[in-house]
Amino acid sequence: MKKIKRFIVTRAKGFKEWFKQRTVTERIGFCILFLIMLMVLISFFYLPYDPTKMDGTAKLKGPSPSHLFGTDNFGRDVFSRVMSGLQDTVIIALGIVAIGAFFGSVIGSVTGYIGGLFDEAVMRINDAMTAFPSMLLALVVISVWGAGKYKVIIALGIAFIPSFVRIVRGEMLKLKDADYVDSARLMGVPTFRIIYRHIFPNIMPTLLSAIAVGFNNAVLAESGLSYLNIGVTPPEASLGSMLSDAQGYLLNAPWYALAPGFVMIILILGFSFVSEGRTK
Amino acid sequence: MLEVKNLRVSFDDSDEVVHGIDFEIGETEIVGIIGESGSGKSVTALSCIGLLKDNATCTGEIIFKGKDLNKLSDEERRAYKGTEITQIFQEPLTSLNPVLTIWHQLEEPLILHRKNMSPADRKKRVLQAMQQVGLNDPEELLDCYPHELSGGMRQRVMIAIGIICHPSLMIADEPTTALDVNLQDQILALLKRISRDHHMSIMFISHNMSIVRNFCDRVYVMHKGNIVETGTPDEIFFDPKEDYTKKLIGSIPNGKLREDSLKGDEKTILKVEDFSVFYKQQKKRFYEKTVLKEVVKKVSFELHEGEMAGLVGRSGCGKSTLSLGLLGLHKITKGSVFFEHDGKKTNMLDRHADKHGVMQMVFQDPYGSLNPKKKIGWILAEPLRMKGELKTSAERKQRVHEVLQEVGLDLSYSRRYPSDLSGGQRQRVCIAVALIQGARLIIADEPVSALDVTVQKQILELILDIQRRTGIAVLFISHDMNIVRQMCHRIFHMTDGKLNELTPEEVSDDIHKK
Repeated sequence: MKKIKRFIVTRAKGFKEWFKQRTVTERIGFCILFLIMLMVLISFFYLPYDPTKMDGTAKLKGPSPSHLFGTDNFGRDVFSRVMSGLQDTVIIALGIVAIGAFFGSVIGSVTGYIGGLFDEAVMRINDAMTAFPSMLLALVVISVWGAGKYKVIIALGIAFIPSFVRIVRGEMLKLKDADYVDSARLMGVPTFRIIYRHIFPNIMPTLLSAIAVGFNNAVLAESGLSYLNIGVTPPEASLGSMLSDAQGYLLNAPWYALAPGFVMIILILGFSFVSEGRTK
Repeated sequence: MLEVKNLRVSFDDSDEVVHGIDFEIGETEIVGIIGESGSGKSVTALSCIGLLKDNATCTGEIIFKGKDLNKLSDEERRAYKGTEITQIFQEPLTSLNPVLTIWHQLEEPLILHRKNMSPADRKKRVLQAMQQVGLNDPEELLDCYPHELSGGMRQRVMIAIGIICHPSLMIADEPTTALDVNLQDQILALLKRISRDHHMSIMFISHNMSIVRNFCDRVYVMHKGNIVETGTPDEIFFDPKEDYTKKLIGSIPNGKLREDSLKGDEKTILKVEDFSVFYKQQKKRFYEKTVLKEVVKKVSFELHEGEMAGLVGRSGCGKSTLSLGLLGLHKITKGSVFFEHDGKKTNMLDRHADKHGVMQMVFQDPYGSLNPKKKIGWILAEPLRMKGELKTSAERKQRVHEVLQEVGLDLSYSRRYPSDLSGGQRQRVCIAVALIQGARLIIADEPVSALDVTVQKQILELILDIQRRTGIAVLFISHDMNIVRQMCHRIFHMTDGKLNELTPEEVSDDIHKK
């Protein structure tokens, strides 16, 4: 028990130190992200109302204590829908970035380390994929497989790989000739281990800021797809699909569009702040 | 001409780095300021010209031609920068703007400070300044970009920018550190001539004692933000008063020959025959055939057990390439390299041979040779993990601690990151990395050239000590003949990729040459 307590105390101290070293923008960013993640967590266990339950008697009601962000054209609670929408959006964006960053890192570091003709070939394929609009790729995948949360993740995840490949490869090219890598070679460290134990930790800072930027793009891309009604399928909500639904009621029920829009802005700001602080 | 009284500089209102120093520079006088890194030399220079960052506070008087510069506003002070006082920097590669032509950069101070000059006059002055700094064909150079010039030429352009407005004080912050020995001499001679011809004083900052001794009229010794001693070079170098100066002067490699010699019956440890190393030349188009450039040309030599062999040569002659080739880090090679130990012969160029550990390297740049994301203990234990002889982490830890002690470091260092260590400490860790792998031959590529003299002396002593105790062979690469002479049994000289051994006469002769 004592051990656990000491562990927590030292960790808390470490966290405090870490937080103190951040810039102000970064601190704000982390606070925002913390709040949003908290909201997502809560949304798994508790929502004020069922986000898909319609109520014909309370259509397009303005914000009130019982409905914080008002209700929509089917009488559904906008606050609950924003919370569950946020949950979907965050999960989808995280999934996209995870796929992109993982495969991007693997491909990028291997091709950067090997170099030569192999690198040349991989990078040309990569260029071709970059040139292909990610939205279009997602549209193709979805028109073949049909719409849905997981298909969006896979489609956009693949589309996000090339940018990560490029970033990781660039860093790898820079670092693979560092003296400490030569030193590792002299130690007889196998190539694979050199890549992931010796070089990769040094790529991490760059990769993290790329992930933060990528997350923003993923949120926007997902919202775009959902806005086109090919992402998350109704009656489920995501921030983008809510915006699309709210479009028709901008004049008589502005809160309907403002609520998801506002949350999206906050979410993206949070990640931008964090990534900006990282790159500095 | 310049008189500095009670100058104090502190950063962020807390760390005072210069603690109230006084010094003066007379007309056409060349004043040297020497000291180790972190002694406040550069900060002093920056405060004189007024280039300190915003988070620095500078108090005291900086009286230049009867005016206290420290009391002037930024606007008034700018009139002095580049016209009356100029500065040349250490790094010629980065002190010129890479996207502007030489002409642009040379013309700029004239546009700013000589407003009534006509374009034709400006061009005349630029060409004149370029000739003064010994740039031949100035007309052709005007349209060049900095990357098209060599390091020496860039430094000359930098000096030309400095003198173009006829300043009366030039602050030279380690202007020759990044240059070759020959170029160093040329640049110093040039500065001296300009100083004489144009009545310009020079404040010369350096950590290189021998340059300061030959170049300056008067020397200030700085230590931890204080001026400890001042005097003529002869006084400082031959009759130092203060303890710190004595220690500093005592650390300068004196170039005495190494006394103990080999017995002569040592076994050969490394046999190199007709060894060439090639570089691929940059191809213009990808379908062009790769052209190989021979950087090391058919080198043959032998090293013996317990021998310390020196390798000297100018930068770019192929010293480092040779060492990378020997270690198998550079793959395009020809010839043979055999390593013999305990009756076993290993072909170092065979990719599949089990050669790991026997030959190790200590790199030049102590800041790049340790992985910044890993703790020292982890770095040192990595080769042990690879070998797999010591199975448990406790055993490995034990071995790491032994080696750390061997190189004179505390056990606590194993928990630190490289960024917490000074240059000398890092170099000790690099030596430890070589030792922990049971190396029998260490190639040390300029292991001390990035270090301060006092630290340099410690590291050299450590290498000597380890070599005597364990009997490993060392190939010591350096451009400083004095160091090599006092460290090594034999000395090789490399020019243009060719290697030849210096005879004992040549080795001792060289002292008098320089």
